[in-house]
Amino acid sequence: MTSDPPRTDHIESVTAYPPIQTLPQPTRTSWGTYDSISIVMVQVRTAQGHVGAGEVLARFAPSAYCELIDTALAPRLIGQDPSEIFTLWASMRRALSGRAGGMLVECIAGVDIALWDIRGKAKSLPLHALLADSALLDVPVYAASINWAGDDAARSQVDDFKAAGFDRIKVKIGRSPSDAAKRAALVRKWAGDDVTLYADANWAYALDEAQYVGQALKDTGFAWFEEPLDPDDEAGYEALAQRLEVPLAAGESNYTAAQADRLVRSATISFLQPNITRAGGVSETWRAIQTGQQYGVPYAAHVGMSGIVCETAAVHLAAAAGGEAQVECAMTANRFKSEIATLRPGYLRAQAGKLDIPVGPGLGLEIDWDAVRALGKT
Amino acid sequence: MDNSVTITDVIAHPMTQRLPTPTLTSWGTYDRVSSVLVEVRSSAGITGVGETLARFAPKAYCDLIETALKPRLIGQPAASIGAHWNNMRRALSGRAGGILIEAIAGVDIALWDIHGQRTGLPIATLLGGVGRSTVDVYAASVNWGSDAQAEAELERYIAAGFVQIKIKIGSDVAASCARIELMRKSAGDSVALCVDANWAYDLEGACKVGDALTANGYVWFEEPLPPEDEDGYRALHARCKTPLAAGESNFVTAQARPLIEERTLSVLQPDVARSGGITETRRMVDFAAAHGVAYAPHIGMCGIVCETASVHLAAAMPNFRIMECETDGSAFKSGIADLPPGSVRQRNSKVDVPDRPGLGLSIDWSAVAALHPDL
Repeated sequence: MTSDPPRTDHIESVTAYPPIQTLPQPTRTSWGTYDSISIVMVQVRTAQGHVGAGEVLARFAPSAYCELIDTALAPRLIGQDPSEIFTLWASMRRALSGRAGGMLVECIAGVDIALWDIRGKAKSLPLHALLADSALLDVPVYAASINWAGDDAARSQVDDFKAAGFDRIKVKIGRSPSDAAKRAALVRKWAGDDVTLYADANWAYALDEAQYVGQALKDTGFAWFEEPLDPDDEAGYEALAQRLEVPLAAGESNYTAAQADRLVRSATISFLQPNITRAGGVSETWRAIQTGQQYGVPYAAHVGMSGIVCETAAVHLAAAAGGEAQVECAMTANRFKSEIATLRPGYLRAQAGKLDIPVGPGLGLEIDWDAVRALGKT
Repeated sequence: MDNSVTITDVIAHPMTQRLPTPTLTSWGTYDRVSSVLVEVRSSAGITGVGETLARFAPKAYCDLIETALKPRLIGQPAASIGAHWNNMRRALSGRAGGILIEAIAGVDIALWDIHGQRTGLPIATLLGGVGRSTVDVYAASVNWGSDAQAEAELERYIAAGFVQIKIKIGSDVAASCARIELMRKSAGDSVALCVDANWAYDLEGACKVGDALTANGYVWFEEPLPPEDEDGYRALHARCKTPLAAGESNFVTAQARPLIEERTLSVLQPDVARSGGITETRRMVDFAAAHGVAYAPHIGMCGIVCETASVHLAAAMPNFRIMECETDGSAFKSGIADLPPGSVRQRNSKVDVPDRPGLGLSIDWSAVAALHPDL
């Protein structure tokens, strides 16, 4: 690391905005159908004129998240040195008691990302270079997702993703288990054998059902089976790993690195998928990634319905992690990716299954805060 | 199933107070705290009340309840409490925990209150438990202040007839050990003593404090380490003879499970206003009972609704040991309901179980409004 910025800088303001959008096409998963969603964007300004951008995973009730940031986090930040990120993280975590998790940690994530953005700008280095030396110019991405809808729609999505140059595609599966097994076989037939396929169940199954579906995924050559069970059912995941050959993937439901610990250490999951805007931001997600690396479990960033800051921060972390790390490239048109930043979304930038790593300082993008505010008014 | 009574409204009421005396713990000093009362109205004209643990940012909790939970409840049968719990839990994705589960707790307690009023039974009876008419309570707490202050508080609790008293200890290990010894000397051997560390120590410090507790015959050592450090609790249990107690930091049963299953904890202390209300708290207490772990409800800085819901659970659950009787003089406990708080009702270290239907209390909503944080 290079030397810290002058300690004279301090945080002047922390502002949270609640953009909302109606999705062009509703996203259907076994969890539910999403037609209107939100995020929270966090802007941190310093006395030296740096402006950092962060994002909070806040699919619903975004004004509650903003209230929490304004009331419980901002007073712990104003006047503090923005380079003391770990100290500020620990202070924010103490804003509420109880085990770490939930909305508080999602809000911390937004502030933390903004602080790392500021650090990068202050040092004139891209975010990934603050974490590790990397010679990479791009990171592998996979197309997400074939929706859990009718066969015709699914088939045309497979065709679209292949035509866009992706050789890794994720398929949403749900209930019933036999329908899921049929979908897996059909997608394999449509995609051909050269495409790497992943399945995402969004907690759809009971243990025995997951065993049935997992066997079908193995038979059709899927490369991972994502969130088959409720994420709090860790004993269930351990039992499933004993019964199945298809690799398990999970992590988007975690808030902290500690929550990833048990399933990583027991070699239950083969891919770790934290969402940086939920799992405590750059600081805590990087810790989770490093834990995974110690046990040979690569980072597969979750992005889902999140916005451009989430996606871009994930690209930086995957670049710094290297190895088998990859990033989810959500293909659904998303105004949180296309309308609020200078950088275009991954679904428009991806080439041959790779996404370029932004070269500018910090996140390497500029947020159009007027556009953010405008989405908050719809 | 009687589905004729439906939910017609859900209103979240934020409350904030300056504490009469600041509460000092190793976690921090609280001079201003908040809570949220949840009012659920039903088509039968019955209104239930619940409480959500919301020490800070209470309006964020209210926004979540009215934006994300209320739409899932309006028009639904009031009695389908388990279904509502599962549905509310799906208001946000991610592992269960945090503000969402605290918000659910408030709604859940209110639904049980409605259920009791509807059937004419106290919640303790609805829970079908062991039918205690009084529950044992312990005094909370001797604060982490000067020796003179601590001795005065201890004397006051002994004079009030408490058979067990909780001592708060802080991050300085030597000072904590000295306090542990002093309190035992002052209290004599006829009063049971326990300590609450509020995550103050690292493992080595906790072991030293544990030795002092064992030497002075304390009955439990509460939250010595951060709640996520489960390996730390295991290591401490192997090296400390004093029973370990924890649980107020848990939101759901899955979080309580590992340390219960392996008997690392001897006492489980969920706070009903944090751990998903009566529905989820009962689940985790039953799980503890199946593993021989005792239930000791946490109340802390919560209000009369949390305390009363805990009294009902305490009356019903077979593995109940003793309940926290918080003597903080909080405006959330006295002055907002027609039921006096446990600290006023207690006689000989026992508190009566309300025998009116539901929770067995009525809220003075104008008194609640007077505690609004914007005032």
